[in-house]
Amino acid sequence: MRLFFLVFIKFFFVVNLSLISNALAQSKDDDHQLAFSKEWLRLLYYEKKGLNKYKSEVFSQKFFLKKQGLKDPLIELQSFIEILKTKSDDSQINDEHPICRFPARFFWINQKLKLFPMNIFSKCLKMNEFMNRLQGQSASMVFSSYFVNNPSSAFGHTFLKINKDESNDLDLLNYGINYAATVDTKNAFFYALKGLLGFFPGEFTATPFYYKVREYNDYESRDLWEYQLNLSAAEMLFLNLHIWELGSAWSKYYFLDKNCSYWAIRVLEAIKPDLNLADYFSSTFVVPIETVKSLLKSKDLVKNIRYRPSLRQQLLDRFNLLNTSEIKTLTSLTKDLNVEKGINWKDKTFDPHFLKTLLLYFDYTNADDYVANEDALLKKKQPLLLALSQTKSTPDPVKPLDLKNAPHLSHPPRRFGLGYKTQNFNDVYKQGGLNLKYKLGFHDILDSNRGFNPHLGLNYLDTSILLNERQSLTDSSKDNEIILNYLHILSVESFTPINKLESKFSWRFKMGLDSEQYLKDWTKTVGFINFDSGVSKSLFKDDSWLLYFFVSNTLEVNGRFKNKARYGVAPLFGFKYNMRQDTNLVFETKPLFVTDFSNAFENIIQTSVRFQNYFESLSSSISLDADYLKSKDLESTSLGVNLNYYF
Amino acid sequence: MKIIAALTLMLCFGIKTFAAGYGAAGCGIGSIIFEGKNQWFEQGMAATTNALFFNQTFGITFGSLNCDANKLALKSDRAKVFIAANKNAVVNELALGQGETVSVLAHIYNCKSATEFADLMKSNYSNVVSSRELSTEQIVKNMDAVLQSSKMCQADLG
Repeated sequence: MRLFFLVFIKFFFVVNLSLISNALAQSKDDDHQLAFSKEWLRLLYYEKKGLNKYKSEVFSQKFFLKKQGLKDPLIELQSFIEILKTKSDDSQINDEHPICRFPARFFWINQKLKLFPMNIFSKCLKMNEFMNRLQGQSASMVFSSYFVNNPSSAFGHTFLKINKDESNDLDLLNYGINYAATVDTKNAFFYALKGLLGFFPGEFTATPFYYKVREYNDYESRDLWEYQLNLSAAEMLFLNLHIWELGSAWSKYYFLDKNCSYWAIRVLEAIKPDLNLADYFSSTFVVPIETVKSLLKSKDLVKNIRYRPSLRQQLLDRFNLLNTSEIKTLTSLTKDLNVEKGINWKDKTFDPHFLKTLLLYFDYTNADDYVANEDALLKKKQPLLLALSQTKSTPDPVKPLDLKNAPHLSHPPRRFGLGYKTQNFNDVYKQGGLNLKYKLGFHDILDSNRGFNPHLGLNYLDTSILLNERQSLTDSSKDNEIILNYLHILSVESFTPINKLESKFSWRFKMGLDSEQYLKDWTKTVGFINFDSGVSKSLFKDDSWLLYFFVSNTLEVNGRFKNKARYGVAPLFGFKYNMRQDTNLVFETKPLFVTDFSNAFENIIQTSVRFQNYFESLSSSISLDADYLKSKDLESTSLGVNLNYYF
Repeated sequence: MKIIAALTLMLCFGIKTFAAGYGAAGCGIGSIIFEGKNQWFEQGMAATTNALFFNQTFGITFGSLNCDANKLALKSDRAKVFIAANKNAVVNELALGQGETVSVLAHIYNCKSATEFADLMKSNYSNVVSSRELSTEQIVKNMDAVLQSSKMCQADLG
């Protein structure tokens, strides 16, 4: 209560000083001006839908006073003002009154019309109770990052955080204001369809931040990056009031554009109308980290960056300090860590740092089980905790914040490429020409690692079109052709290098269209689905060399195949050499065994080398590709160079 | 395939179900002991369906139902709610004698010095977190007892 009113009173002063006793006469022109002002349009989330036509992105009637209010900013404003003018008897003002339901709107209108003293808010008991819990003194945008073992978090997530104070000690008691869809299906197909088409309603909820930390940091092992915002006391007050209003704001959730990150930005723009954050990111494909970048592009909006490492990261940091024999002891101890077998902790003197690492290791390896079996797990590790409680408290070494790999430094998601590609087929044909590339998003393992997990890739609509001149090497005839080189609708790469910490499968998936080179008429395109899985291993501690062995499976469909389809399987060897943060080289080779579901088998060898270097200051990269293919009838080589621009 | 479908479209799909499910299904004192037999998302689904679809007249809802350590009047109730939601971290940090959750508990108990509180809990760890009874209720009961016998943070124990 106290804190909230402190902010309040501070602001109150400013308002009261300018309070003129007589309400200004409000003309129709004035109404019009207010109703179509940026402030009002943003507070009620009106979107312009053509000449003089508006519609709010919020569809719930309870967010408005009038039914027409969904589409008419003026009617909504006039009804609000009318109620304020007619019900000026204070005794009629309670929780249900528009002043209490829409305190930010009231606050804004009242600043213009001076109808009430601001202490009228004392009539709003529920709103006050909420304000006492929230006590927002400052706000942050929190980015929950990607995690290699959980591809569903591949894009990350953002939410607003309202801080009582910015001291680290009690950060857990702050609130996350989260926009999320309310899902009513577990069926993957309907889930995807409804999410794409906006059939899930989305709403805001306020959640104590400790839930967010437990969920993201501990349970899902995702890093949290916090971007503290530079908002004035007046803006903070307005944000507190506006959050209360958001409870009744239901809107259609669209996975791609009207998602959590979009709404977090919209809320900020509503309380600080001089912000135009949406100008800084693509509105058709709202990628969470791009919305974070928009905050940093807006002058003086971000005042500080904080980082909360995931459980996995905390463990990795400690793990790197152990020597081989300690790691061996650690893994063997975790296996025996239960009451029955017991470890005679008193007999052995363990270093407290070692015990802490053991504790993190136990928590990390059991993270999936913690929600359902917490007490059983606590029982299991109790001997370890008892041993730890006997040790001297040792503060953890403070690791300075390393922004080198902060997510906001990542390359933009979309990519356009212009280049040249030349191909040679059996020394019979040669072709070459412009190679136009476009990718809607997001990141592949050849792209710069900066701000990304180096082992995770996710790509949408990756396209290459060749404007070829084909030349016969036998009779020197020439012709021109435009070829769809490839259209990869979706590809996912998830590498989990096997190490002392975990041994999980690496896998990748790709689907789309490819121009088929195995056929003599190579301009044919085939539809394909490819799934590779196997193991990967980092050669050095710095992850610069990643080796992988996969079993590769590809199913291709084309009318020309004997049974309209064929299937290829192969052992695959590859490596990725991360030369520098922005420079990668990938080599792969596989001897494919291909069947068209008749008795015939074909053997095809495919080898490729790809190199890419990213220039951060230019938001551009240069890439070089070389491919070699050999089958019974065909031997082809190709070379390509491309300049790519990220935007 | 399911994973692919989910992932194709999972653009920052805020999982609102977690908060309600994690350690706090059907929250409220008396029911804070988590009866976790299902997966967390099933718990969450059940918990959120109750609060679904526009029955909110005004004001924002709390994603955690009533499991909010900021709200309750009694300190031991606030401690219960907080521990139920953060149990693993709390137990770890009580043994370690330091950490964020211990600072929050010191704050809830109105202790002037979070460090003294943390040291007290660490030296009494085996009394506070007993191997026999690991329920949140019991941990809080033990914590209250340790605080009382040490006469620490007794300013106005609610």
